[in-house]
Amino acid sequence: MAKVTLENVTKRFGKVTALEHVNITIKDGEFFVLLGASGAGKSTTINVISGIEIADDGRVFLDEGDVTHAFPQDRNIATAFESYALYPHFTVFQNLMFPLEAPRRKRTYSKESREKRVHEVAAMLGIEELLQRYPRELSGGQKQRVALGRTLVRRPKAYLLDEPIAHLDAKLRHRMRAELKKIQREMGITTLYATPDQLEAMAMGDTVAVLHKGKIEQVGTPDEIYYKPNNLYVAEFVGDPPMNILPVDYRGNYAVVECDPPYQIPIPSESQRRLAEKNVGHELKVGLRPKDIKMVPVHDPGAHVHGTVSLIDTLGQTSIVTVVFGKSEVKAKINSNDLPELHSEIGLEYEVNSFYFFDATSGLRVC
Amino acid sequence: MASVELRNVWKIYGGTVEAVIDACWKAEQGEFFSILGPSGCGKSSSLRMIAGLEEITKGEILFDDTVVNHLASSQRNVAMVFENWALYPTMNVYENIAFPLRVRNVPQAEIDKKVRHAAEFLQLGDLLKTGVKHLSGGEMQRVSIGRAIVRNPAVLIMDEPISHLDAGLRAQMRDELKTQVSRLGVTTLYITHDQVESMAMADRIAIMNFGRIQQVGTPLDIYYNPRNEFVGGFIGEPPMNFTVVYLVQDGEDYYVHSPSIRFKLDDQCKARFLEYAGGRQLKLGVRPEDVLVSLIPTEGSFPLKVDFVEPQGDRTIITLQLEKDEFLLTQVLGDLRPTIGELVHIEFDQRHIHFFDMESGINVLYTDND
Repeated sequence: MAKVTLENVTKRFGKVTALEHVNITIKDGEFFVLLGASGAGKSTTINVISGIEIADDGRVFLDEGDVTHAFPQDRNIATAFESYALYPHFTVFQNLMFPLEAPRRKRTYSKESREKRVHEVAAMLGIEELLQRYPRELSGGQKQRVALGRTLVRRPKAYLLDEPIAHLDAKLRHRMRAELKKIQREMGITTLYATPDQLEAMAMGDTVAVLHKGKIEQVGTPDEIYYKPNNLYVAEFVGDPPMNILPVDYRGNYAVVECDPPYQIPIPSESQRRLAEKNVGHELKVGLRPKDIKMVPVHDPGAHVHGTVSLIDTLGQTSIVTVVFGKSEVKAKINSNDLPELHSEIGLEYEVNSFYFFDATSGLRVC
Repeated sequence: MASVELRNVWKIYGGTVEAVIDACWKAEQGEFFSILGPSGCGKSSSLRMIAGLEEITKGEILFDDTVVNHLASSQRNVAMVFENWALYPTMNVYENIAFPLRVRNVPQAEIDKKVRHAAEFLQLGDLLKTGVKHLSGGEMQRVSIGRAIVRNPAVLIMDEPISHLDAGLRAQMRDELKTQVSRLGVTTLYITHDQVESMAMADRIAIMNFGRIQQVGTPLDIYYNPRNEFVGGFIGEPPMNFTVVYLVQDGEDYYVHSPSIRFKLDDQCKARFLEYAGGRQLKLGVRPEDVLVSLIPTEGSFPLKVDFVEPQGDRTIITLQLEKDEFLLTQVLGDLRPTIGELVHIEFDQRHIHFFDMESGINVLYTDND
């Protein structure tokens, strides 16, 4: 077990900068999630920590030891790759045994304890019946569990898991999240977990880092990432469906929403006070989550804007309703029992106390 | 456009493999009708019979109340949109849309009129001369629809058109597809294995499993009133919980029991059981959002241990332990965050709980709304 630190790490591939001044501290025993779209730099971060890639700038520490240039095998880190990387000519059992039979580890584990460990992990992942099969005889989801198992048989200083359950079906994936988190908590091994799925990141992470184009946008608890996004990128990336963003011309006690056609929304006095403290200009962007929008009759005095229902996506108990007004639209999440008619005219009432305010130029959240 | 009806349709391969068993349903004119089911359920065989690509073993298929069994595929006027759009990479947008008319030797003046009309409708007017490899995914989708509708088909069939896309893009394309198709007003049969797509897009859904139609209904009807255990479990995310319980009568009262569950049926739920004469061992089905979680005991609640807590932004998924390897998923709004191992107190929203027969899987309280 160890603390993992990336200090100002930059990694380039030719002209492409994959990671730019990345600073991360993963506490000893922590479950740390790296969240980002494909191409954000998640795998490169993992490769730099495991030693498959060497950082061009900056340093990597395991506890206090600088391992920036250490060989992968000297770092005592176990990695599960998204591409499985199983040995095709080995059975599942042999694949799982392999990390324990490396010359330097063979002495640490007796034959019995090695086999016991393999069976333990196979049971945990529900792949005991597959032990005598070869990788070619497995489905994608099964291969992925074997790849994960091959990582978990060891007790290294840290686990690095690159989208380790992305290829499982929804139900199994959900069960695996709980199992993985439980295993990790029991073993207490520092874990870095990379995923493009924001719901998975929030479900699993003690801490979540949002990575975007090689840069860290925010590091925080799942609640901090959701309730206190640092900037527009995080605000739109986390939350399903994404936050509505309204560009506005801020005028103190009200703001003109710059859409086609424009309309006004009142700004609560508490927000006005905080915006005044931050000394913001006129150009802001207001963020509003779909759950914070209510549907009201067209001529309801509480309506901030009215428009036409253009789309209703039923999810079950809740539905996502898209309302267009002129050339603009917002999405609201409402109870399926209160659905408006498609193409009908309705009013929208915003929960004004739930507004987020962003600087239009920098994208940073003001309050 | 036409209505599409299947009357007692069967597809049997090699005399033994029953791919479609006695299918009966009707998609009305202009309806967006989805055929939903896991792989191998018979949905593709159904669509192939409708399109005329596969012989009908038994039964009748009708377009606008006319039997089309004997008509060749080309005479049925069915247009198809496929998973990968299947555009001709060497042709520009115009030629891709014009293609079905060219092969039918339609005069150039008419082709031009129809292509421009379709392109304008689908907002592709500025892209007619563009090669399809320069288009975005959404534009390719529109070209594919344009090619399908340019010859005014009776029925538009879409076979898993967006299932290969990643999650964010899929949601976006789903919205766009639905908007375009509803503007066209053409009868659409939409085949998918993804319940989210069917729920979000379709006017009505036919759910299939093992060759049989399980239920036909609107998304909300199917969601709140599943005919059997398969439908209950297939629709909804996170999925419906199932657990074996006993129904016990004590004087006037009915109790639901299992080693870890005990609650009394409320009057409304009890009334639904008055005419029930089946077995006392049943499978309880309850959706995660219909499990009410409290940190303190409430009247009629029973305790369960917290196994896992997943913050999801505006809601939280809490997994509770029933028996050793059996769990109850709950979804609560807001940020209730019990600690793992803690006991919480559970009630069910009894308006939305279901009981399924142990053997047939039939919802014993099912009410037919048709």
